Amino acid sequence: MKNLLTKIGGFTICISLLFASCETVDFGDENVNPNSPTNKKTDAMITSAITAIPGIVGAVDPTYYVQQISDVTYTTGSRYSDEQWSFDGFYTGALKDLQEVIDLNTKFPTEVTGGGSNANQIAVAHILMGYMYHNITDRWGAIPMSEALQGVDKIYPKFDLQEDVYSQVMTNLDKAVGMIDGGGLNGDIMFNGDMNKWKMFANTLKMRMALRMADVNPSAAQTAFVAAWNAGVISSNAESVHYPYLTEDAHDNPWQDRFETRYDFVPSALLIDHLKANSDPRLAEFADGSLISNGTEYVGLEYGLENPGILETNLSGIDARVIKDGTNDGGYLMTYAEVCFAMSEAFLRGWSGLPGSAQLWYEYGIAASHGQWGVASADASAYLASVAPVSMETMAMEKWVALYLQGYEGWAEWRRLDYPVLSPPSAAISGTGVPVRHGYSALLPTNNKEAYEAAVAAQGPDNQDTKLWWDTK
Amino acid sequence: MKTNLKKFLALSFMIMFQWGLAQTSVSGTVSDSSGVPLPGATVLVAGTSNGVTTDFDGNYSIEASEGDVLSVSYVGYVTQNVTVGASATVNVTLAADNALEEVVVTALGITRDKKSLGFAQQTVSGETLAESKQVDLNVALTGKIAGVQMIGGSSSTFDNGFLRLRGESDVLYVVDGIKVYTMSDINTDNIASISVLKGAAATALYGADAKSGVIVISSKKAKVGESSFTIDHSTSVSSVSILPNYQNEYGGGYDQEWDVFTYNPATDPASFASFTGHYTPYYGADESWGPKLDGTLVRHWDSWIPNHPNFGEQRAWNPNPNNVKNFYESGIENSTSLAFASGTENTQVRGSLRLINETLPFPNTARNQIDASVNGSVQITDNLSAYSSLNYQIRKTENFPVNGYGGLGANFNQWFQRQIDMDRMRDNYFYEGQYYTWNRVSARNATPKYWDSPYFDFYGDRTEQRKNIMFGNFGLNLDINENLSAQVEARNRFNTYESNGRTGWGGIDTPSYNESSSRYSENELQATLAYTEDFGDFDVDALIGYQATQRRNHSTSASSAGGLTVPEFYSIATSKDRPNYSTSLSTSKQLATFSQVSVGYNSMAYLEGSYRFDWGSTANADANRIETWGLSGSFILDKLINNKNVSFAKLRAGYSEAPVFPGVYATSSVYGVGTAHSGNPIFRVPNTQSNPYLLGGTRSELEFGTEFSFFNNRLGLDLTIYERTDKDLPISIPVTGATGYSGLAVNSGQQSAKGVEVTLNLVPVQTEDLRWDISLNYAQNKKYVDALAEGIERRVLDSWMSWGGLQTQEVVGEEWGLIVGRKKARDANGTQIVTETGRATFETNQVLGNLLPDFTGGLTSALAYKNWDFNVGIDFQSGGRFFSTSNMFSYYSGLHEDTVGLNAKGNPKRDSVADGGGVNVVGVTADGTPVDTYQSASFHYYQHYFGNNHENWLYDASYVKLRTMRIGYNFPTDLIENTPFEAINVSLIGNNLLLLYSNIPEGGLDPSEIEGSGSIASGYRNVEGGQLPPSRTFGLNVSLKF
Repeated sequence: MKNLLTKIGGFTICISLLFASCETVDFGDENVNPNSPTNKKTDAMITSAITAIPGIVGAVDPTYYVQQISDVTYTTGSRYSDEQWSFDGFYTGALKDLQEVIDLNTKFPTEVTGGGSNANQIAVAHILMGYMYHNITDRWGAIPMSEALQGVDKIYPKFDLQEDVYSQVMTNLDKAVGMIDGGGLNGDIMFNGDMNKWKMFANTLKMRMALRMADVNPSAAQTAFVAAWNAGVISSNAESVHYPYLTEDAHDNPWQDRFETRYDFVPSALLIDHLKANSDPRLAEFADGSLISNGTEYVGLEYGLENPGILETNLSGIDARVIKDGTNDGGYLMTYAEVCFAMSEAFLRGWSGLPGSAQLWYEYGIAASHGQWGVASADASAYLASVAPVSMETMAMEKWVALYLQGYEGWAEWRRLDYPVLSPPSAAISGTGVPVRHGYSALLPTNNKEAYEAAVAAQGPDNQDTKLWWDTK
Repeated sequence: MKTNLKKFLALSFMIMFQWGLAQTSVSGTVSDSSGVPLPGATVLVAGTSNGVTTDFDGNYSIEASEGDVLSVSYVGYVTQNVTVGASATVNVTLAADNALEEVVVTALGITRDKKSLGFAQQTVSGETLAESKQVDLNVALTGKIAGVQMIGGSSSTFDNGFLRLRGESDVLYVVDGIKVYTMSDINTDNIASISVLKGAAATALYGADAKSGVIVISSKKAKVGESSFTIDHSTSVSSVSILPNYQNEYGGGYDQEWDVFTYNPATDPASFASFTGHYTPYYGADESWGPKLDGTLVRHWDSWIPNHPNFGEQRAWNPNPNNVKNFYESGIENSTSLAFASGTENTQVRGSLRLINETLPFPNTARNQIDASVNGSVQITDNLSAYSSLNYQIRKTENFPVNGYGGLGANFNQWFQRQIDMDRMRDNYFYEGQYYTWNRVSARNATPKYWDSPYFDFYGDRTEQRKNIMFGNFGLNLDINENLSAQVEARNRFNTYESNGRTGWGGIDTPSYNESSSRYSENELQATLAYTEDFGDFDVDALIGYQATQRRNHSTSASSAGGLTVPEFYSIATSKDRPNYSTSLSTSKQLATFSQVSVGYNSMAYLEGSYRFDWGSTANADANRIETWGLSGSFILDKLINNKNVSFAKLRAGYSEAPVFPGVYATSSVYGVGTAHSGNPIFRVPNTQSNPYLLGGTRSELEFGTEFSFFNNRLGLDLTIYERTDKDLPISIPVTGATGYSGLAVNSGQQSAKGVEVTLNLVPVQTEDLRWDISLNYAQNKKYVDALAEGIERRVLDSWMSWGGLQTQEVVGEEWGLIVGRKKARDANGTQIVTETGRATFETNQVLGNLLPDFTGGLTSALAYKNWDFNVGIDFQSGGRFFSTSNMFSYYSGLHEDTVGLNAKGNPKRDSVADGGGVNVVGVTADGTPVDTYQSASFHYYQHYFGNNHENWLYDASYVKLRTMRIGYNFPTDLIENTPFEAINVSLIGNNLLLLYSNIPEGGLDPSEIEGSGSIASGYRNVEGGQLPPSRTFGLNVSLKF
């Protein structure tokens, strides 16, 4: 027995000496990830954020809501099959990349000058974030902004009301324009480092936002609008902002991708018939004639049918320059036509401090839209001569046409101006009317319960029929 | 007494050539103490390599001289040494050893007496496995081990299933001490036995890798005195066994009106002039809501192929009920194994070669595989021996059928036209250099709308894979003195895969080509020192060891982008746009020291403890050590109980704690890189926020068990109860995207699991000629989520399970794997709540069930009658759920037989509502108004899907399956006496035979074959996206032993 205990004891001591020897072992570089970099390359992050824009300007769903595009066979999209949408992709993608640019420029200013001057990088990050936050809030309403993008430090960001989002974004845009300096900017696939264009972009965005809140806060809207005009906005078709699509598959127009092997979308009868009724020369530029008529006849597809059952060879298609190419069309962020119509509306509302008149800007807008789509100036003039004089209704209808394939903009303006008068399809799957909002993602009640419930309590039921703050009628 | 025909086969000897003195033939019978002969007992002339085994009747005959000592042994009996006297007949009686002196293999390949084990362990012998001639090890193990659930892929593809052991799927496979990369590297013909170590306690010696259990496989080795050569050949034929119930009344299209062709002289070729008035189906429709199949003459899709004999032909619009069945062929598998084994007292060598050629029930799919192995050991000096083994596999696969959504299963069962004639499809899909499909855009336009011809998927598109693997070891054993021995072993495995795939020219998708190559390797060095000593009534075994492991995984892949520039030529060089290229490298290292001490008292009580330190490179460099330890004990009761009916009784208990390392590079934070835009690089902040302080979690497990054996081992009962807790698991907690991240890596999260495993072994009949063994396994495992992270009550594991976002969730306080989705709204009486027009309304966020089964198990029966054997294997599962996309879309597209028939009024459902057709919808509106209306059939069945009607398509995954059946015959020794063969066995084998029970009202699916990869599949195997039909196999196996 004693023998046994001695032997076991000796054994244990040997073992424990061995074990007590090392607390940690040094493995050197073994765990350094060789697959991905850690360099603080902020210009690459700005480029990354810009590449999220096709998801906004090339989206199909808002083109349904303004009833300019119909589904050929699979009609669930145009009949509002989806009521719940998620904004997570923006936050985890582009917005986080831009926040990272701001954070790195703030914390490590000397290490990131490869991206341009610190001020310019931060400014452009704010401008792009503003653009995206504006798009997100016009879709959902109350969204996280002031407490967002903080990772583990704030895992339950609260939702800011739309009113607050608008004011924060507009303040940030002003600050950004103010801080732009003479240093350069790299990774800028949008304007190639031309900071004046960024100022123009920011001011035009501010003008757009100001007009949008015109019904809920007319005085603040007017002040901001005039200030933006004075600071310098888009002033010609050449200055319209179009996303820099490439022919390469990774960066091409989503409209072109949609038609590579499928044929799901065509212009609606509502749009085609409207253009035909007004002898609008843009008809031939927006759409192509049906195959069966050898391109001579324009036939739209009635919007919202459950089972259209018509061969696409009998229908007009969206113009080939968008669906077969798309590098220079079908991807506008903001256009001169839009600015013109905005100015026209400012006059219709009786705002002062601006040059021109409602009728003048109305005509400029129509001409700009024709020019943008490549209509010969003689035909554009002929059309101009035939239009009714400016009023909220005629201006809204022209704007509706001009915003063809600018889905989210078209939808926002339709909600605000309420022309044309549209009704939902009889075979609609969700909601009670044409959607005026996107419902929040199904994951939110799980992932951010309190903030979500507070937002719904403040804004209204979480469905597609609840009007947003600026959509008063 | 154990009458074991298989043992007889395995242990047969040939009489060796011998030199020397005059020898006579000594013969006799070996029997047990009750006079029953023992077949397969070993009779060895001591000190030589001269040995034989007894035949079926216990008789033997051996060359020996007077004075030689015959050593007679048999498992379970005390070895007897008998001196050869003057008589040429020596009969030997063997006394039974203590019951269950069964020796089993445990961690690190250490063999132990089963009775001394304090933890759950179960053994499957190699012969039992080999019975079903299954190449797939996981399928071969199905139903044989309590607590093991086999999750299968489609039996008609090359898809491997995987095993869940006590609910966890990261089970470790170890072959001769080498951790194998994937189960398909293992040659099932070489397996001598499998020992399943189920819980953490059994695996405390393997460290973190083995926390979910280890399957320890011992390869066949040559025995001393053996010299044999076996040839084994089997040929089997597989054919598709379950197909959905299709409707055959209406053909393709979206409505029942016919389009009439009108010749347009301005645009149509002159050959179309006579076609005016021909009826044309809606070719572009991939649904079957079209016109009735009443024999109308129409222009089928292949009547538009220019220059084709069928061009312009009108044929009847008739049903083809067996069209899908006609697509499938018979798959054939031929497997030939050769093995030699030769052993003397100093050297043992075994080598094997296996060749497999296999085709599946699909056209143009083939797999060729060669497995080769060699193992041997050499006694260098009295104290020093060396051993080595090498296993190699090369496998080439042509065309993996795509399982899941977008593949053939989805095509035929979800998006198809029911009238298609498959023979014409086979003949006409490729004509004069062009591919043609049934789903052409229109009469005038042959471009595919949504689907290529199914034959294009196998001949136009292609995938190819080449797999090369090798694993092996080399070791030395040194006996230092009678108590102390040392062992050093080096191990290596590497797996390489090369694959390429193409999307063909002429189909609907842009042609493309991709290539990838990956290599996974692991090297390990292990040194151990073992000590064993008896101190009176105490036996002590101690072990101390050291292990160093290094792993490297490297893969690269390239694919074309934007199309290919040269027709019919596939390469990365001819990519239209800049090709995509990606590469990934991960390396890790680990060091460990471990020790184990076991003490036995009087062969009645055993206590064992083990302790292990691991240092890993994937952990934070400032704290990279984890400790694993275990303690277990067992107590043998049968001597205390002292009842002649109780042959064995044991109680055991064990506890262990096993931490885990974080994943490779998980503690480091990097940016993701995207495809550059016009030369500008793209960096992205990753979606998971990394955590530099990420630790490993810890698993602790407590286990109690009993083992009983009654009536002289005629009835055996093993019962295990365990409870397991996982704490501080490093998990990515999903957070709301507005934080900028979709997941945060944290150490929180606690899960627990409780379970019961029961194994019942029965020998109802045991006579001289007949023995019947039945074994029943049953296991129940319930896993709970105890905590996630502070303030987080719910975590979504998988939300792309179906259309409409059905979710699998972890919810604190509930069973793991809750399925949450939409359910039809019903009032208090259970009546459906609908809108005024009869549209269904839904409640969202409803708990619809649980992913994991309630219990699983299997039943095996082995009947041996004289030279015949008859074996049956059944496995079953109760509970669990899966979502069926196939059934959902087969209703949506009008393919299922339930979408035709008569409605409540007695009229055909598919007639228009105005004509009395339609489907009756009865319900109440939200305010209680009754609704009784008819909806058009196509709208109603669209609704079934559009409602995102998760509840309807979430099926119970319960099943009972007759998985294997075998009838075998061993040629009697007197018949083959004059042939060169030692033993011949012929058997008929059937695999995946019959789904005896399933709970799917619409039928057509096999719940035990849910796919694991594909566009909507997930690792949880909870959704079927387009299941390929299961197939059953019949085969013949011939085994010859020289």
